[in-house]
Amino acid sequence: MTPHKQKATILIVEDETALLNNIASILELSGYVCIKTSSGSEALAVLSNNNPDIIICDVMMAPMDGFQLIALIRENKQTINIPVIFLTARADLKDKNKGLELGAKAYLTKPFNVTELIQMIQFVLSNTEA
Amino acid sequence: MEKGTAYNTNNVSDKYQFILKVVSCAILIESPDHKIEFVNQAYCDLFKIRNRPESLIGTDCKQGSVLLSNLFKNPTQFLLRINQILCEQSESKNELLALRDGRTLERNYTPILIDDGIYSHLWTYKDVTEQHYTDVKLQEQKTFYEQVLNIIPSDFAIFSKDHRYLFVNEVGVDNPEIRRWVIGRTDFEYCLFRKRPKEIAELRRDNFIKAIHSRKEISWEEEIADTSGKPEYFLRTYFPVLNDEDDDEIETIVGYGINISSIREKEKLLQKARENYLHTLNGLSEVILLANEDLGLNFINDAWNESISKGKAEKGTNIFELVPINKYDFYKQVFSVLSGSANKLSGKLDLKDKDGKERWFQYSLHSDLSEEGKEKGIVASLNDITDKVHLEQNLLDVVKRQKELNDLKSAFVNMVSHELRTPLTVISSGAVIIQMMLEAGKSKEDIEQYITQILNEVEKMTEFMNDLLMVSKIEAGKIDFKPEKISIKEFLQTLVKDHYSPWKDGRSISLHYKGTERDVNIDTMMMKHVMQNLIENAFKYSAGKPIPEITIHFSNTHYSISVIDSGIGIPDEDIKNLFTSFTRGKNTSTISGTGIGLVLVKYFVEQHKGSVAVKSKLNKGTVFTVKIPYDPA
Repeated sequence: MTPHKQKATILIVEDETALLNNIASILELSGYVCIKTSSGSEALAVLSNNNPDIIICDVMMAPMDGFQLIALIRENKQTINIPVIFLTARADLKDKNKGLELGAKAYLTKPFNVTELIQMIQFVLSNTEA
Repeated sequence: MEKGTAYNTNNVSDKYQFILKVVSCAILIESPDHKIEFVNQAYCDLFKIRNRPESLIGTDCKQGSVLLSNLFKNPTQFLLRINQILCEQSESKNELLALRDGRTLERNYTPILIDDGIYSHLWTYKDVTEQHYTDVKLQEQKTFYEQVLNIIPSDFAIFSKDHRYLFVNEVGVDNPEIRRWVIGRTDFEYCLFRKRPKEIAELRRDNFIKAIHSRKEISWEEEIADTSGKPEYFLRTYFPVLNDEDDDEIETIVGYGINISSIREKEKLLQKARENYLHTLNGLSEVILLANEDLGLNFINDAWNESISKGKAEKGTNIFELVPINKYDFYKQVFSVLSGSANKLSGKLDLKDKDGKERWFQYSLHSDLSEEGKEKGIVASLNDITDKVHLEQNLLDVVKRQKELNDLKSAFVNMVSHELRTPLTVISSGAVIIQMMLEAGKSKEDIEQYITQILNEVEKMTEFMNDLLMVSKIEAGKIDFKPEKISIKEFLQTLVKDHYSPWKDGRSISLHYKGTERDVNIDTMMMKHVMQNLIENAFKYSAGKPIPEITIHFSNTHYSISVIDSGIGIPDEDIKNLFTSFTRGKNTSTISGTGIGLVLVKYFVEQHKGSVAVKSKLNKGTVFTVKIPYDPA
């Protein structure tokens, strides 16, 4: 999918409001449609009515953290194939591996490079389409 | 008189002659002039004379005697004795004569008065070989038994039913004169004579009576001092001898005493050895326990009382009373050893002493075959290792605390990482947005909010860095407690006026007082940090709710400051970790915070010798109360 075709929808899960807004602004300026959620339960509620093309998810959230949220998403037939990118302050290799084991396409640590994030989104979306 | 034995009843002399002929005794009547007047067949048979008796009548007796004398062992003696008897003409009874062929004869002589001073001579002989042999044998046996009784190493006596001596052997009475003297006397008399203690004599007499009444053997132990005063021990017995023929009547009482002094001596040595062995066992610090197959206690040393002193530690007690039955592993091993499936097992056991304190033992179990090799039992040794276990536990505690510290450190690192990376991300993404907006030719107003956002995040990071700096200063011991006497009321009023009138969300905070105001000693830097932290928490976690309030309560020894909000509250499971780790409440995700604040609050309040308490109800609100004594020293 390319931006000139139908716009891709991105679900963002991030508990830090300022960051949630900023990521959404950047992605919207880059031509994507964003759904903003600030907790796991909010994200699950959105997923019951929407079918985003990609999920960008924070890890350190409460009460449900990003790993738990993605595990639930992977259990659901409707959402099992939605690609996930983790965006987190946890820079541990151990955490990164855990995220990738859960089926995440990428694991970016904060503070992230915006260009890198957009490239990663484009890469993931083109691979999914193929 | 029986018929068929023919004799002439008219002639009295014939009648007697007939009787003399048929008696079994050999008879010869010698006339005063020494001719044979009468001799019977038995006489001829006895001396093996072939002639018929009638043919010998009238023959010379002296010649006959000479002929017969050759049959005797001592012919001369035989002839001389006949002459002697005839001269004396007095009755001679039961003289024994030995024949060469081994027979023994008994001879009787009776003079028969015929006329004044004139006598006939009646000689009778009887074969008493058998009877004589029996007598001799009896005498020999008696002598033999007396000799035997004299050589056995036991005193031995035969008593009549009234306790009189019938016989006593040489061991019983060594002096032959006394031995003769004592026959016919009672044992009581003998004891008095030998100056034996009265109790001994009485006990002997009582036991003698018992033996007679019970008709059974009675044994007892007697202690008598020997000539040197050294005690000697005797096992004394009275044994009633019953008469087989006479209705089991008691015939005599046999009494004997066996000297058991050497046995007693050995027993004393054994006892002494046993005492030494017990002394050694009791001196051990290890508990030694012996039990039988039914787990009845046979022995336990003093170490038990010193170490545990619980349960009746005495013979026969079941060991369940000492080691509780719920010590499953211990009893499993005990039964393995008892059943023979293992010889030696060991393990660890905890027991409560009489004060309820826990003590640890390293035990080992062995099978005990010492008792006759038959009765199975168990030997357990219990080594008190309480101190060692405590040491181990302390080490484990240290390791555990170390692990907790490590976990805390890792939580701290995670928190720091999160708290720095998140604002940095906001800042960097904000900058990217500004860049994008400038490229897109957006207005100054659109861009300005992102500049403000960046400045806010920088401020947040600075705040966090200050908290971190404070922690590291505290850790390095660089924060000293410097109290000064001030009015807490004024202190709080100034603080509220400077920072919270209003706070950035537009709300303010109310101040209330209870009790009579007193000046307090506080470190103003620390207390400012404490109050700011609590007040800002109250604002942060009660957004959109009624304004928070502060209440100062002055009591006699303490004053307390409560910060009350009507906010989201703290979940129960998070309250316990509130002051000890850098974790934050599970419901705080949308509200910024470092998790350091309350740790610092607690530390600073404790510097004032005070305490912080928290009461909270989810979605109702939270009250933090700081309680500090007026005199923190």
